[in-house]
Amino acid sequence: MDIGNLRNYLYRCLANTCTDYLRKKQSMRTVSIENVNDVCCPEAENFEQEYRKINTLLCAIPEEQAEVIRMRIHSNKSFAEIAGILEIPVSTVKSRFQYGIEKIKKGLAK
Amino acid sequence: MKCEDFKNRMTILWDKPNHTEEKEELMRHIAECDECRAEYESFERTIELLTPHHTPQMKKEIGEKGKTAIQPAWSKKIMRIAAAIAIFIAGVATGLTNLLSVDAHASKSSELVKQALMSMRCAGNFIMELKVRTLPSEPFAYFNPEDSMINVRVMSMQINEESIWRIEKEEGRTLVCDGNRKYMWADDYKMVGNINDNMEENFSALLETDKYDAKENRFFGTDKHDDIEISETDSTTVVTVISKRPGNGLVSLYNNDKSGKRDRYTTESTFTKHDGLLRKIRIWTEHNGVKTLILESRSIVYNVAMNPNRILQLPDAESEDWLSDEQLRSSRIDKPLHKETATEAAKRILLTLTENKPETAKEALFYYSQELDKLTEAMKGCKATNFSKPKQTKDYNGVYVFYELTSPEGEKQKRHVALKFDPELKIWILDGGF
Repeated sequence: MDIGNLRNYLYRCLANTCTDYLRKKQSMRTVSIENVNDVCCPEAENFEQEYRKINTLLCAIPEEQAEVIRMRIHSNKSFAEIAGILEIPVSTVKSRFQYGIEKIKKGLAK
Repeated sequence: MKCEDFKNRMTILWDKPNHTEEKEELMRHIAECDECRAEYESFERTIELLTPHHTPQMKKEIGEKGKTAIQPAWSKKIMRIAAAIAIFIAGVATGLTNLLSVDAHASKSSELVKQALMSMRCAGNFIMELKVRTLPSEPFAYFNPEDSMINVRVMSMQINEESIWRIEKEEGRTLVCDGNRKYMWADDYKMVGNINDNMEENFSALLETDKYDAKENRFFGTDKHDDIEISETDSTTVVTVISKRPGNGLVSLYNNDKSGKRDRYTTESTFTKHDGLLRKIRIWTEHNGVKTLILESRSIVYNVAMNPNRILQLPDAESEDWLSDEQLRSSRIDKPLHKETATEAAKRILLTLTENKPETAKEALFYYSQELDKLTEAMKGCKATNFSKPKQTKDYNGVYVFYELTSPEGEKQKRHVALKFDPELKIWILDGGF
């Protein structure tokens, strides 16, 4: 398996391991976005509540889209940096970001 | 700027850096177009929901001397994650070292398998759609190159540290594990067992990935005697293993060639590079120069939205309708048979079918009680001869007996039956082969 840029590869390992471990600890791993009714209000009062709320939204979309969203919003990586880490085109990163947000948006609107 | 152009490019509004000429151009369009502004604001609100605003809280605990000690609530999580990272990086380093060894292909294959197993464990849930040469009513250990392909679905999900899963043959046998017990049913019976009862047979290789290290060599065939080929594309790695061992952990057939030649098994596994997950698997057997596809995955999907009820759904039945394996057999056994060898039992069973007298082997044919009419009709006028001694495999806790079946037209076929011995009732029960 071609590692390429070591820094990006190690970042990838770290991001995957952290994400996968935290997802594994969640009691309900997946839920249809249409069934999520309580993520808008009330607002999360603490870190734990907010974390669970965000994770619930992200678990309802394909992992490849959730991964890009996490790296952009939570890790503050640019789309170009994400493309380098995941070894995919920047256009693919943008598409995954957009489709993931759209899916979450549509599900919340129902 | 046209609205279509804006919608195609608006994603960069959430990219870094914050100020670029392209962003300013998009913002000017937002100021001029109500529809695109509404679209932008809708996106912005969704992204705001996904943006964390709180920071982890710190717990305070009073020590024995009255001093205040700060105990972070998430410290244990971070330590576990750090440990997992360290272990993973060590594993990667080991894998990189192994790649330089003489057995590079075998080592690389093993590392890919290990990574796939860890990825599958971390993924949490998956759905596999398989095409398998088997029969709907046969046990999950049954594969036959002469059978047609049927659909088999495997679903697995993690809930609260427990694994629930479901294996279902199209219009046939289904097995469900709810984390505590296992339920298996077909048209004519409903069986319940403990979590340790191996009803899933070789499919445990896919479902019990935490036990994989001991099995990995058999499943993907990374034994030192196997021929291994590795090819790569931009995004995938394909491992092809050609083995002459009896079965590869998932598919175990038994060679009935009297010459002693073993069948060859070819397992082709495809992994995606960026996450190491298994994406496709195909298994062939090769007997007397004829290569036959035994198992093929049509799709393997991870982290899909799944309703646990879909996995745990059982047929409508009262609790007393679910019987243990022992209860099923003891409820139908009229009298125990005399001790006989597996070969003798196979002869007797085949004779009852070919002569249309299944009632004389009712106990042994218990699992086929609903299909006796079909079986006797199919076997009418045939002759079963040349019975072999019983043969065993490590993956099956019964035996196989091979025989030659001659049709009324004189056509000969080499076939087998699978038998399990009941130590309490001291009889051989037919467990497969039709």
